[in-house]
Amino acid sequence: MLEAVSAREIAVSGLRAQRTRMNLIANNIANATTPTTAKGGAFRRQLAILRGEGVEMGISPTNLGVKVERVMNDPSPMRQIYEPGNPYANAEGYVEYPNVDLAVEMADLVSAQRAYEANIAVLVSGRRMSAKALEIIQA
Amino acid sequence: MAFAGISSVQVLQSAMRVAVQNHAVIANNIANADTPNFSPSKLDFQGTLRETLEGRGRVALRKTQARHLDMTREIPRFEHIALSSKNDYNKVDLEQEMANLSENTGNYTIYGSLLVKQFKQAKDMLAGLR
Repeated sequence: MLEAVSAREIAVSGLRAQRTRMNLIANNIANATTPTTAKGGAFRRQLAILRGEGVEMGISPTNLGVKVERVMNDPSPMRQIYEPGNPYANAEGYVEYPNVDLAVEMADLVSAQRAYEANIAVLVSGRRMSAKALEIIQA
Repeated sequence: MAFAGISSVQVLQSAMRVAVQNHAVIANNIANADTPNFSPSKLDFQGTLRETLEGRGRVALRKTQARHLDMTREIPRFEHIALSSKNDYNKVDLEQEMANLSENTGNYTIYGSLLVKQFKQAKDMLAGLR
């Protein structure tokens, strides 16, 4: 039942999901200091919600792999920084900055990178297995 | 090159097929290393084999009619490992999966090498006939 689906497709779905996570992290970091202006347009930290299924009897193999189910905005409160000189400051002198914490983003980036490398390792081992199978023909 | 009516080529072939299935299972676990609520699956081939060899596997059903279901077909069994390392209820141990991946690829390579050897022997025998 599993022969029909190749490990390569599963690994590629993992690579795609981790790439999406890394793109969102890059966007979060790039917008970390975008203040809320009078026009609105407040940037909120975005994160990807992944979805995947384990190998079980009864689950069709086409459902294997991982998908980005949705990209959601982080509902945590925005950062309020006291900057009375800033033109975007409110009446109390506070400027609203996105709820992006650089330390969190860097930790997430490392985790996404590590998962990406793990998927690459699956691809490499799959290639080694195919090469071995080809050796049988040459025998 | 046959034992109990089964040729070693057949045995190696099915071993390689199991390794390919196991590769897909491990790939799925690694792809879902960051999926919330995900539990890794494991293809328990060796456990099933051991149980069958020791005679405490599936109870053999007796067929009294030709229309009875065939129970000799091997059904792969999967088991979940219960361990937790993250706070999103994801139970994938990436290091363990990488080790399994490496072991599985090694096994596949060994089976492939043995198969190559089998065919080489047959070829040498044929060359001797000439």
